[in-house]
Amino acid sequence: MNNVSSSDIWYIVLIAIFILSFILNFTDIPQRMQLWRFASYVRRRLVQLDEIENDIRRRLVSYLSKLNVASPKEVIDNFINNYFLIEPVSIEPTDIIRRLAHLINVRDANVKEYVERYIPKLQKPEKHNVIVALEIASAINIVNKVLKHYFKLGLKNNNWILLMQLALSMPEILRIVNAYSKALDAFSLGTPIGDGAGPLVVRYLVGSAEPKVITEDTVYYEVSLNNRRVYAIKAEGPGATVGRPGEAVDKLIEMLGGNVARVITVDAALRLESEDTGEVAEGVGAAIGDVGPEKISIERAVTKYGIPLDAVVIKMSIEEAINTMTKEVYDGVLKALERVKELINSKVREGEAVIVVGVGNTVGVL
Amino acid sequence: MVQFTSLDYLTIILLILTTLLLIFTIISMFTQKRISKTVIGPKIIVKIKCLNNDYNEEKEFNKGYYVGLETGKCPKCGSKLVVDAIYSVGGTKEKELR
Ligand SMILES: [Zn+2]
Repeated sequence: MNNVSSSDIWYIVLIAIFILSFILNFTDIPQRMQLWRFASYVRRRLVQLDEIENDIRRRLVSYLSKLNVASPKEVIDNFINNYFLIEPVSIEPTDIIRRLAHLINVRDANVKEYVERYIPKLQKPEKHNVIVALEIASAINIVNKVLKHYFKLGLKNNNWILLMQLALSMPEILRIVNAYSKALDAFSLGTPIGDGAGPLVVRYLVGSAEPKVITEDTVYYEVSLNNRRVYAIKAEGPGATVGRPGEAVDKLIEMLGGNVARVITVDAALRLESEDTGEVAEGVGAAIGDVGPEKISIERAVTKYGIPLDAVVIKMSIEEAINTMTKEVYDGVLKALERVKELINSKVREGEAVIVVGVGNTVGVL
Repeated sequence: MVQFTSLDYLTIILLILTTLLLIFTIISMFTQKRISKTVIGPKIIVKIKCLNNDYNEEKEFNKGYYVGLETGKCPKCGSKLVVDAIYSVGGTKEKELR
C-alpha cells in the first residue's frame, strides 16, 4: 500500500471521470440503458394488461353462459374488432354533427341487431347490459392493442422518448383499465353506477309517475311540484343505456311550443384530485358528456326559444362513475335532488313549465 | 505503516462521499412512494321503502333488484314496497404508504 501514492489514485480517478463524462455527453449509451429499463417496465405492465383482458373475457363468457348463449366465445370475438366508427369529415364544417349523429345511430342499431341475432329472447334491460359488457371487453382490447403497437414501434425504432412516455403513462392507463374491468361486474349484476346519478335524481323527483316514451330508449315524466309543471327526462331503465337526452329535450320543447321557463340538466362530473366525491356544484350550460350530438341538440333547442339552461353536477372519480354507486355518490344524489328542487322553486314561477334532464347511464334505475 | 499525507485525507473524503452516494441510492430505492390498496369486500346494500314512508328495510343485493322495483306489500299499511336505493359501502380504499 505504501507504494501507491495518493497522487496516483487521483490520476486514475480523474481519467475515470473524464471517460465517464465523455460517455454521458457524447454517446447514446445512457439513453440505450434508459430505453432498456423503460422497455422492461412497460413489458411487465403489458403482461398485467393481458391478464386483465383474459380475466374480462372469462367473466364475460360466464355471464353470457348464464344467459343461455350457445357459443359465448364466438359472440365476444365477433364483436371485438368490429363495430368501429369512422368520424365524419371535419374540414368541411357543414352539418358535421348531423352526420356524426347519424353514424352513431347506425352503429347503435347495428350493435343492437347483432345482440338480438346471437342472443334472441332477451329482455330489453338485460340486452342493454349485455351490449355495455361487450363494449367494455372491446374497449379493453383496443387499449391493449394500441399500447402494444406503440411499445413495438418504440423498440423497433429505438425511440426512447416514446417508450419513456409509455412507461410514465402506464400507471394511469392501468388504473382506468382496472376500473373498466370492475365495471363489468356492475353491468352484469345490473346495479346502479355512479354515472347513474342524473337518472336517479329524476327517479326521486318523479316518484311513481308513469313514463312516456319520447324517443329511442328515452322516456319523460310529467309531475307537478309546488304548482310548477315538471317534465323530467331520463334514459329508459333499468337496463344500461344513456338514451338520447338531447333529442328528447328538443322534441319536448317543440311539443310544448317553446313555453318552457327553464331547462335543468343533472349529470355526474369527473372530480379533480383535490375535490371530494359527492360534492354538488351548480352552473350554466348543458351538463352532458357525449361526443357532441346530444349536447348540441340541447343547446340549440334552448337557444332557439331563449330558455335559460342550468347545470347541476355531482362530482366523482372515473372509477366511481363506472362502478356500483357508492354511498358517497348516493349522498351527492340526495344533495343534488334538493338543489334541483330549490332551483325550480326559486327560478320557476307557479304555473310555468320546467324540464329536468337526468343525464347518464340508467343501469339499475327504473 | 500507512503514512497520512494531506492528499490521503482527500482519498478518505472521496471514499466517504462514494459511500454516502451508495447509501442514498439504496435508501431512495426502498422509500419510493407506494400506494397500497386495502380491499375491504364491498357490500351492496338495497334499501326498500314503503310508498307511505312508514316502513323501511335493508337487504343484501341480489341480481334482479333495481331502483323502482316493487318487492311486495308493506306489512304496516299494505301499500307498495319499492326499492328506494342501491349503493355499495366499504370497497377499495387507496392509502399512501410513507
Ligand atoms: Zn307502509
